[in-house]
Amino acid sequence: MLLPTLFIAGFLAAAAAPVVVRASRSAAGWILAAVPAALAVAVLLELPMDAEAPPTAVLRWVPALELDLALRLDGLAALFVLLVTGVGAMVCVYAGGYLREHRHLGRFYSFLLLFMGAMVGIVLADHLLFLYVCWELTTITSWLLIGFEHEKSEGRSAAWQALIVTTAGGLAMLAGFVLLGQTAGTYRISELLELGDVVRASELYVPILALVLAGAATKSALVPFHFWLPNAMEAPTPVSAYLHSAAMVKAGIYLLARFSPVLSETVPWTVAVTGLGAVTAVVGAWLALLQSDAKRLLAYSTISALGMMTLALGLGGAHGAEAALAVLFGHALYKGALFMVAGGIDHGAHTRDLTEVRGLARAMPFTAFAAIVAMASMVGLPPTLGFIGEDTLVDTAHRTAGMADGAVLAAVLISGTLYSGAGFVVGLRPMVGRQRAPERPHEPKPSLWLPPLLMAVAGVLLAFVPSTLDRLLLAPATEAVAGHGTEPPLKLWHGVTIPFLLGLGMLVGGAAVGIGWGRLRPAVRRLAALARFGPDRVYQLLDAGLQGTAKRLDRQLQHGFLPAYLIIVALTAFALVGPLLIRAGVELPDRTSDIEYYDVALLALMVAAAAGAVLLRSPLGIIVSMTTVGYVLAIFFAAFGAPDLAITQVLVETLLTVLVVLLLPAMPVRRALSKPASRARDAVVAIGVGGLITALLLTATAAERTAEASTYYLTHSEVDAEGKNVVNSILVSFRAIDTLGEIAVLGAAALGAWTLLAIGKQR
Amino acid sequence: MDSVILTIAARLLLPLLVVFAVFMLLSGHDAPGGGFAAGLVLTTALALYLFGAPRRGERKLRLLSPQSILGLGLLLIVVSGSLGLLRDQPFLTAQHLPWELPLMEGLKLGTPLLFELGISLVAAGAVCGLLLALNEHSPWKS
Repeated sequence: MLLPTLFIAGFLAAAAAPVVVRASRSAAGWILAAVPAALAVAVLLELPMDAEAPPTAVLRWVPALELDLALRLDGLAALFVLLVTGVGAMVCVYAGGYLREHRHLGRFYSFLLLFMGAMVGIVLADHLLFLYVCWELTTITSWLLIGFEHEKSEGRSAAWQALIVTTAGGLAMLAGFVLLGQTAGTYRISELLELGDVVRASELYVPILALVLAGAATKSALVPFHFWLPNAMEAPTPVSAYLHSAAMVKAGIYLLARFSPVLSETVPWTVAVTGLGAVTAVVGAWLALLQSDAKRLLAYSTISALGMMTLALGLGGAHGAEAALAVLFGHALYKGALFMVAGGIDHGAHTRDLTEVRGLARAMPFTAFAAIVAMASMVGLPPTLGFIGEDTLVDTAHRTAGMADGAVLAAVLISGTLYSGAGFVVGLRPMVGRQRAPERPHEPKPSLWLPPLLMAVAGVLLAFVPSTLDRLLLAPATEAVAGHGTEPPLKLWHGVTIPFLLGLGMLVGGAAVGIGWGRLRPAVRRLAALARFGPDRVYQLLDAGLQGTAKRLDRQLQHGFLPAYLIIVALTAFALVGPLLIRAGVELPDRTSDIEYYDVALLALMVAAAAGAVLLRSPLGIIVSMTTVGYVLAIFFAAFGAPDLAITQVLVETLLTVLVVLLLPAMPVRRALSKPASRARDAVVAIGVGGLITALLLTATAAERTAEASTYYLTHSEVDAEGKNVVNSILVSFRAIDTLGEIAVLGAAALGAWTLLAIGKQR
Repeated sequence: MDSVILTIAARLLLPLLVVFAVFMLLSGHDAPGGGFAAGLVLTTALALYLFGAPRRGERKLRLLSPQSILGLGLLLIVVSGSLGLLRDQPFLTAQHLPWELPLMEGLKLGTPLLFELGISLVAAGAVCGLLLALNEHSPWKS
């Protein structure tokens, strides 16, 4: 019962959110935070997760295709669920304060909780395709949340950019999943993890690796797909604190960790993943220091941190896994806190520009405290989780014996130093020194400083119980990734070892960077501006090119001239179906003896009406003719013993006529018949399509299968569907799923028609 | 300018047509009829009302909110199909209630009826919405 609840809770809370907000705007954040908090507690009570027999839950959806909703809570999943729900609770409270006056607060919470549900789904998923569905759900909710201020064009374009980049990666990942499933012979992840050797030995290994890596790289903003994340800072700060630091961007790291047992321990993996991670770590940290906007700095530093986690996973083994997970956990806590602090500074001092604020500690002590504690974790100052993570990472990088281990260690050190510098700049610099701000700063409300404070302090307190943390959370997770834990277990103080000294060096270097930042930054920026052509520019060029081509194509094909559309449709149908019919041959049935006198009379009437529709000039006359054709058809149906069809035909024809008559005065009278050439063309197309449909119907009714089907339905209708009306039984009982699809299409078509008419009215 | 003839005719015919629509819905299982036709009959009745008293009719029809009716219909259809899932049966398996209504012995109560009701709501909502939308553009309306 626990697993389905964990999964569904987010979606239920999302549905309830607007109601809660309407009931009590000021308390909504606290109330809604109870849901993720409860989930976090529930998972806490289950720790540590049993590696041999983790809790599972399966809902069989389509057994024939082995498509199941399978959930599994092992050590790795538990770590992520705890993070997602714990930080989620903090963000709910924070958003309540940050967006209290916002009109669409209910909608915001719905999207946020929907995201949370989807993210929990990703980590609990035990089926490749289920994972993919939840993955794309996070993409969609992220799009909704980034573009939440949809009136601003920057918000919209940032949301689209994120959507396109992550969806492209997601599709690649899907392709990789399909290849993986087919190669291993199963789509169940828990079974897949045992088949690592099979996958690694197959010839599809490199494509699978590349595709899955594409998915991870786009979602986790690894170079060169990192450019969407800084632009995503257009989102409201609660969104940045949750999705773009603690939760969604970690999904790619989760992917790599989850599929480590299957894909890692090979040369391509080590080279690609470590390389990607190293480059991302350095580039991210460097670009972070060039920013002046607090959120963009934090975004780039997140990119750098994600690079470090990827690097660790690339190095592989239990040490790599533990390093990655330790960094991940610490990062979620301090980065989320720092994002919230940035939002707090925005509310309290009305700016996010780091060059404009100094010495805010006296004006906003609680926020400053949170900022400084979080910063301590970020720069790797003991005793913090950030320090433990960074220490483990340096230790792992130091241990690896490989061709490029010197380069890897160098990357870690350089990025670590720059990263610490960024931490000082965003966490310490605004708070100390002589006070300077655009407006008189003040402490923001408690819901804005309490969550970051709790998260930052957690990052410190947990550092004092590393063995407990290891036993309950990190070791089971590492075991899920690498198959076994690490020796020695996680500790706060290993003694004055080389990693410790290296870490100390990074800390001092970072401090130096932080001190000199104010003076050096403008000069370095000018230099960096020379290299303006980056992935973001490439995306924009591609986007503009695509849009331009689409517009040109649109002008050619969507000219609004209805007869041309009809002719294209008709010709296509003719071209596709015609040759098949000609080859199959059409037999004309000899049923002339069955024709009654009234059939002939009705047919004559129908032909006359059709002629009227073609030859008459007044719109009223044309409409009456066409309606007559429809009614005569209904009489035909009745004559042939199909009362349901007759009824429906009469009703549809009547309503159609009513709708058309509403616009009757606006229709022009035909002054003259159209040119002979176009008349000939229209005649040919009309006769051709009519002949095609006739031939098609004759072939279909003559087929044996048709006769078998009608006998089946006639005999089984009363027995199985308990209904004497066979047509109705077919629609509602035998082929209900077709009806469901058709009625959904009707609904969608109606929506489209209303929208078009509404837009037309505006013009 | 309301048309007296149409208004009175609508006043008389509307209840009849609504009852007829319900009748078609309920009898569709064993006799000609069914959900879709029922929805269209209902729409015809509302169209008559709209033409009899254009301004008042439009206001009342807008209150009826065709969009919501359409959405409700779709929801009903999906829910009726999902009830089977609770009993571990495939989606869209028909579920029937074991008892019958006192005066309507032939009527089988179950998810097919809900399904039909959903269809009629979608049809009615869709066409009513179109009616209202086209009425906005109509030159008859001044």
